[in-house]
Amino acid sequence: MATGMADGDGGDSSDSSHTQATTEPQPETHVPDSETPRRCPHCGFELPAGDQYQLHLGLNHYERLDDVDQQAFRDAYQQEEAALTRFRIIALGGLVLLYFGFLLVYAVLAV
Amino acid sequence: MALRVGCLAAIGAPLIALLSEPAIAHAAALRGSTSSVEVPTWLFLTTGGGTVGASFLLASFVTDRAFMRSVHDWGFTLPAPGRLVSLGGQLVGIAVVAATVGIGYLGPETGYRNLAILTVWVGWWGGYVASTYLIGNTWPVLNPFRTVASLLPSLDRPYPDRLGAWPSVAGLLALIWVEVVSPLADDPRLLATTIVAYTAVTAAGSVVYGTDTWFGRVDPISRVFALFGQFAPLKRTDGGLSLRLPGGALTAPDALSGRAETVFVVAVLYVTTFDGFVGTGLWARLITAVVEVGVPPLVGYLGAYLAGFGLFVAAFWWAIGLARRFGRTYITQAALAERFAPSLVAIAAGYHIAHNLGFILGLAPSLAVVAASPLSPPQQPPVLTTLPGWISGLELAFVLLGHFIAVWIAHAAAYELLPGRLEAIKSQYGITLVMIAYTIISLWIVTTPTVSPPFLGGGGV
Repeated sequence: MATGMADGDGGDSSDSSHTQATTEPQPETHVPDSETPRRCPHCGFELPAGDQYQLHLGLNHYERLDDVDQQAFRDAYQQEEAALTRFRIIALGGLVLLYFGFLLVYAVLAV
Repeated sequence: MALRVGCLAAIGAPLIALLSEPAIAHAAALRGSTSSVEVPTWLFLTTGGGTVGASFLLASFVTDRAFMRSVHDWGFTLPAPGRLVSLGGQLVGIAVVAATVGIGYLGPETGYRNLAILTVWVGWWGGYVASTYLIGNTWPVLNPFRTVASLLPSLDRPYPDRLGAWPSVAGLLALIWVEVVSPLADDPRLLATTIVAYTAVTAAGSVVYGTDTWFGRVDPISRVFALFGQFAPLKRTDGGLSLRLPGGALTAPDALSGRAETVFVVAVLYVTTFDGFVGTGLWARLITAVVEVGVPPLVGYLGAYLAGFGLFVAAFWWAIGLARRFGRTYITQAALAERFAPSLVAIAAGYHIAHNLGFILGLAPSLAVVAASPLSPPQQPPVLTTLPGWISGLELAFVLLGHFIAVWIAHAAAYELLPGRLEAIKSQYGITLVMIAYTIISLWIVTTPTVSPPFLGGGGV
């Protein structure tokens, strides 16, 4: 994707860098020694196994998946939906806290 | 800020008081003295940071990729201006630079009466730069240095690819360094000589590498304008002028390529900040203490300049490290940085306008009056001494608006890169923290009363 990026990328236990050679350019990836990535069979992009991999397949190559993978994508997407809902509740709480926190501080200090 | 202070220093003591009044009034008005509410500075700054944090939380509710793409793809194509307009632009560029250099040498020696100083700092660095991100990047056409260089033959030597954008990073740091420590904003002769030297350097570079390579890859000024042009609503394309939402193009995967271009974006943000920082009272106290220990002033300035830059790059890199961890991705830190760095352009644009708006409005009458009779300008060209209070509110709004757009661009980039929606949100933790910190710093610099940087300017270095 870019020039001059294969020379290590700070902060990671460096082992190997892989440049994607596909029709659609994918960002360069770098996998730590201790982990085994899943490589997308359609574009060669490397992802952590599990939901990230299933989501990538579904979002980028849905038409080319078999029924099992399509179902796995839908499941991963549903699970993510639940996690997102939890996050949204926390985010809403954060917004409320921020708003009323500042309101209170202003009420006390801005006179 | 140094040029603001530089001009102030040049205008003379009574006018300093008059001109710096708006700056002090800004700070006061922002903290509400005009509406009889006093807000402590720390609360005012934290509120700015809190607003940016809130915009991150709000953005996290938008998780629909199709919607985000439709926002960024929104746009039209307009017919391109003809050759005649381009030729006219080139002639205007050449005429302005020729007049600037000529008047710089022949006009009055006092900075605030010399058209060269006013054209470069008020017209060009203030007003024209704002047009590159508010309207579109017209520099490739206007650029007088390019027009001059294109008349010369070229050896067309191949540009070493491994250098990438690094020479522009070094060039930008060097240019702003000269601007900060030399009386470039007071001394028309020095300014004219600098422009001539700059013309010579760009002409030599173009002769060796060709104009397209030089101004496309090496020249730092062209690169800054090209970056700001990425933010602007209008962009020249092969098919004509494309109109899109401000910042929309910064989410494109090819907005930046390579580590050097990423660092260049951080450098653009940093140099404007440093320029402002040296005009604060805190810096005046710091450098005075350092000089009292026995460090030469220029060494102190240079040390702080480079250390600050290192700090900015390190903070950004740290934020990208967090993005990689929380985003659960194998994409390299450099590749992530490349996609997230364009968001900083929006912040730099917002900060530039906040930093310069009052300055441009205050000195615009001077520019107009001096331009009418550049060789015999009035003794005291008119300045707008009291700007309406809402101007400072507008400056504040631009700082925050820049950050909001930046939060959105980073959010959208994360959704393009990461398959997980929750991971895309979480990848923004570090960047949001860095942006909050930067908001606080930049709001403080914009609203703190400006002082003349000690040991520099006016009296020369």
